[in-house]
Amino acid sequence: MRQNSFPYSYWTKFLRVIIVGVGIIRFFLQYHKKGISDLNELAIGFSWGFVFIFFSKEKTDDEMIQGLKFKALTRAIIVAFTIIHLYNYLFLNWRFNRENNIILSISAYQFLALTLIIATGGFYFMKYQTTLNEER
Amino acid sequence: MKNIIKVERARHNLTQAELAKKVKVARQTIIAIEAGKFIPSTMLAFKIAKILDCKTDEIFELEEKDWQ
Repeated sequence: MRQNSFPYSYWTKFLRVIIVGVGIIRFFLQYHKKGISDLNELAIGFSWGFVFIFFSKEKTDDEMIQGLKFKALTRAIIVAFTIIHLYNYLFLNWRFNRENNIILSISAYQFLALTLIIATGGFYFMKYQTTLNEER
Repeated sequence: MKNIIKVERARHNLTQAELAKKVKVARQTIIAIEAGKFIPSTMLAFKIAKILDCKTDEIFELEEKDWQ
């Protein structure tokens, strides 16, 4: 019996390039036309793109690959959440006044993009580490 | 958990890639199992043992640290 937790086929990885590319182009277009550095625009492209790369099947998908992806994702969530929490606290709400202010936070797109970038990087790093004693 | 996959693989004149293909996993998975970095599922352990013409407990052996 063969089970696979990842819903998207291998070819969807190529969608990532297109989606991330569109995100980057839109970011630079906004910057060029209006002079606005809209990181959210970039984060939308990155988050959708990395959803397809991280949650798609690998060329050869097996239990170790699935285990590594799960490990990478669990670690990435903790790391990204810590980074974002510190960023929100130190840069957005440093002088927060409970009576007058509302709590500021970076967007869900940026959180998802950061998490998936860390998870994808972590996954490929761990995969690389397992091949260090590869036969020549 | 230690294993003698490398020895048995050499005895059967199989490369890591060939063994990986026979048990339908990535070559990196065989590399990781041989190096003791990844413990395979029961099913994969049985498949490897079958390809190498051995019993599963001849290939894989528990170590003292596995009990801690």
